[in-house]
Amino acid sequence: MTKQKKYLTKKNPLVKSKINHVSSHLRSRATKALACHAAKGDFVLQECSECQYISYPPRDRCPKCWGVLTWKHQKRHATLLAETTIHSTTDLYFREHVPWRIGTILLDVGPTAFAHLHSNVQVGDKLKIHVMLDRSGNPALFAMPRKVTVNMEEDYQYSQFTASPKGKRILISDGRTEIGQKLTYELIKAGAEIVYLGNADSNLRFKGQDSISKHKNVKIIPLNLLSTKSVKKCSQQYGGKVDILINTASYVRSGSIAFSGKITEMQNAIDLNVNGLTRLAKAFCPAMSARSGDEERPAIAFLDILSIFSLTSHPDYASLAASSAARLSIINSLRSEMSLSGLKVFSTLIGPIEDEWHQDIPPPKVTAEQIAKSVITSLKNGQELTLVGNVAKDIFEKWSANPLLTMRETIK
Amino acid sequence: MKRYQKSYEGVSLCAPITIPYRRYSPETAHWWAGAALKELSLQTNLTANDIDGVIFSSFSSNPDTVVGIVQHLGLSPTWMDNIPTGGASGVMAIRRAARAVQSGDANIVVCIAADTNHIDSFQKTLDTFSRFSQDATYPYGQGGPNATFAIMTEYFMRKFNLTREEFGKIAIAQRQNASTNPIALMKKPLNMNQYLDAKPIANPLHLFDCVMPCAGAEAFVVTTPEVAEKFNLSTVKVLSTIERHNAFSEDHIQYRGGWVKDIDDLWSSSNYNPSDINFAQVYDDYPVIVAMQLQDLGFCENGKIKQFINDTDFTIMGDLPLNTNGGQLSAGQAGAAGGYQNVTEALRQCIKQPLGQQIPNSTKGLISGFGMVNYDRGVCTGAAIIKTDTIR
Amino acid sequence: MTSKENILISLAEKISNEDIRIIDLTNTLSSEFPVIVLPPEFGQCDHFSMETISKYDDNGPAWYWNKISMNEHTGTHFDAPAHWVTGKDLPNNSVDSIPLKNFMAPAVVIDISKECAKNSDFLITKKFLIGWEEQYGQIPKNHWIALRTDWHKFVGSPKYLNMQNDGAHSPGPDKSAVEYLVHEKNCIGLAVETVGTDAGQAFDFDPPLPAHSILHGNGKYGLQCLRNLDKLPTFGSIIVANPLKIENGSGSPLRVFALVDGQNDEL
Repeated sequence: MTKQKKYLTKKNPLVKSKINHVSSHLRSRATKALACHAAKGDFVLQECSECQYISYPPRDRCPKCWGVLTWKHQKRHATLLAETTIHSTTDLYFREHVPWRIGTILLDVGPTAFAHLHSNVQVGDKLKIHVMLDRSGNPALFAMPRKVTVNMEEDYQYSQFTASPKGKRILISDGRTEIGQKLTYELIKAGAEIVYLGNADSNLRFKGQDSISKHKNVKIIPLNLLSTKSVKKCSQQYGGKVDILINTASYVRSGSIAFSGKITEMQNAIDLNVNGLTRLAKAFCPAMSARSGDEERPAIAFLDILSIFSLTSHPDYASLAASSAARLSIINSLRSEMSLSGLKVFSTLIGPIEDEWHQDIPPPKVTAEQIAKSVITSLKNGQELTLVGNVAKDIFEKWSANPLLTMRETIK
Repeated sequence: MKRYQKSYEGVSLCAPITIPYRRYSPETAHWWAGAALKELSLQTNLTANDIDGVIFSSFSSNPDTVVGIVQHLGLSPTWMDNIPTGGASGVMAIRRAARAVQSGDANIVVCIAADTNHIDSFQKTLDTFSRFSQDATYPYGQGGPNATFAIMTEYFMRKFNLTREEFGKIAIAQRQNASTNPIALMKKPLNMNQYLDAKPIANPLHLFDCVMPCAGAEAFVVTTPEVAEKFNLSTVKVLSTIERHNAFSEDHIQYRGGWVKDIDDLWSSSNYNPSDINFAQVYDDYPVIVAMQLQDLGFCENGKIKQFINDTDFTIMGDLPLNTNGGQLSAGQAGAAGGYQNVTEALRQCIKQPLGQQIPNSTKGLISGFGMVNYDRGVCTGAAIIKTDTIR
Repeated sequence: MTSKENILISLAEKISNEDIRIIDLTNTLSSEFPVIVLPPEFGQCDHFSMETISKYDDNGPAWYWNKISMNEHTGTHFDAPAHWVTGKDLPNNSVDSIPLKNFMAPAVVIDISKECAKNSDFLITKKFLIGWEEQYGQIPKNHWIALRTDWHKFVGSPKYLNMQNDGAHSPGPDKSAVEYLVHEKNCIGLAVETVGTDAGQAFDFDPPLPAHSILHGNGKYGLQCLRNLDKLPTFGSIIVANPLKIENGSGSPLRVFALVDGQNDEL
């Protein structure tokens, strides 16, 4: 039986929230490289390019032949050799979470390692290993049972590495779009307690408003990312109640730099995509950070949905690409800042979506439903970086291999 | 292939110094090192001009190494070394200093281990302890070596069929030994129920399985018999030594140390057997490491450690007096100085100047060191067999 | 000259002792204030936005100031002839070149609030205006024509823009009314409470957007998003509306007020 986290509807207002601590940030460059793979949910270990010896912890040279190491996908299977339950530790983060089980695992591919343990695994058990990102954004191995069981992702220790929407209060910045609404329904399906759905202009009705506003788990609230005042006002009202914040807002117009594009479109794109994200982060992240260590109702995640063209530029959607690039940069800066408070920062990179603003881009395009489902999965798995749609995956793969070439390929 | 090791002819160990430990100290490692030198000069009349060799070990002298210490304390040696191997550093200091004296590179080598313990020292030491620890140990909540040793202990218990009682016997015997040592930090008698019922730290480890970090300094002198005579110092001979690092990296979890690789050399070079030894001073941050050393160093047949512990009295008046000052488990673990206290206490028993109770017959002793849980296991091991030479 | 002989001093005194009252016709500029919505494929009108540069803080310990941005047609604003293609070649057609005397002109208030309450799409026609003149008297020449609709009371609710699937629904003039006011009354311009001088559905009229098209094509002005027209007398008030001097500006947010004879207060 998975040892589950309790879900409470209200916290005692007289109990002071615990300050969140994160473990030390000191990590080698090699381990930071592991974090990049972990962010995508990949299980990789270093393999010697000469003798194929697989080693762990992360090194800079092969300990067998001193050859060069490369990160390779590996089989996740392992066995639990020994375990302990930590009752007392000087580590400020874990002090708040003891008793905490860890153990030594023997990976089928060779190395042994320390790993956090799911409550269902015992010494001798066959395991499936995940590289998770901890609350400081650093990689850690997590040993799950090989056999999938009901609610196993609700394990208390596992839940410290994820941002499952179950029982959470979630703010979606833009509820006027199909993405915002599909996501709302998916989050509720995944057990969200309430979705606060931002509406930038209460003077103008939006498609789907009637049905979504009737949903008992949805509350439509005024939130205009173009207005610092509006965002601040919203955070003053809801900042103390938001556990997960998802930014679905995006300004998309086609247009090039020299000919078809307008400077005002660039300004609009930057004001919503860049400044809007900044306004959200500035208004909500401090309040959320203060609650990130709360035992009962912690604030856990900030997720931004942005265009894959943030990586490559796009000549026909120049303002979207430029503002998305800035957006990605902001998210990276924010992630670093939030790693001190333990708030997890997610990015969902999407390809062109099936809507009125991407009419001149040929398929394949992503649907709002695909995006919504990916967001849920990334939160549930604690996966910081998610790619949605074939275009996003294809561009990311090319970009990972050769960024400059991928940028050049977008030139006609 | 049998190793040919030159003898330690012409080398004398003398002048063991221990500066009484404190749980916390506002002073620095430099202050503690200076205190050790001061005490040494008072006891031996050695001056800075006499000292031409220096070995220094510390975890808390950052950013200084032996270089900074030499200048800080006004020494001008012809030879020096920095030994950063924690619990193995005492044995390694003997080996390096002895060869320096034999070769004439230095005549009087002072080996100093000094560590302070500020309220936040422990965390600071952890933060910079090792790269593998940063990357692959601390993120799992260990907050120090407790959980790593818990896993090793859990595995060791299963592999060799031990129970907590065997480890309790070691801790209790050492506590009894500590009761005679006026400067041991923990002298309150300990019984088996108290040991078993203590606060859990990380299963199967409980409070009395774990050393208590503290501040302190240890020092000793390695020189020639002629110099020792000139300064009227009692001397101890080195019969044989071994040292080994990163042995058995293929073992999934550590249950043996590098001693196993070189144990035959140690005993054959000394011309003694384990049964000839009067006492053992072994590294003891956790009882499992004591048990591992006793087995690996040949005090019992491999795999028979449970029976050996049950059959042996480790108190000062017992069959194999073990860690006669109380060891680190009762006297306190003063950082790297903890890696020298096995040496200083062994020297004292040999020259009949113990801090506490004297072992009735104590001319032949074994010193064993174990250090540096760089990641999931202790990397550095070493051992020395010593014998009383001249008592003055 | 004594003060009694000087008309300006006399005016100042009357303002000071409130014999002449000043009525604020301006809505407060804020990010919530609605702006006109065009079909999405066109460029849009920005809301007002304000970022604090410093407020007695590390960015300016003793002073408070903000950076503001908006469209020329955000909030209570003035439309210059250059705003519309029909006025693009007129002389003095931008806010920086409009003769200053036009910034201060008498107003006639035509109250259609009752009609608008019944019908959001109420249209003023020439026929209606002539009927109105028969009841209230001639519309004087060289006046602002102020349409009192009481629409400003909807500010803050969706009813203000009243956007439906087929577009906005709000009152305004038809072609015949605008032509009558421009050509026969030589009006200064049209002053309204709604978001535009044209009716909400006027994009579908012939010609489209007759108020913009005809007013600006003839060098007349527009004033939009006004409030407090219900506090003006039908005749005898003066509207002071001086836009910012923006180089080649098509319009400008502004503070509009009216001078009303206190003794002639209809309210």
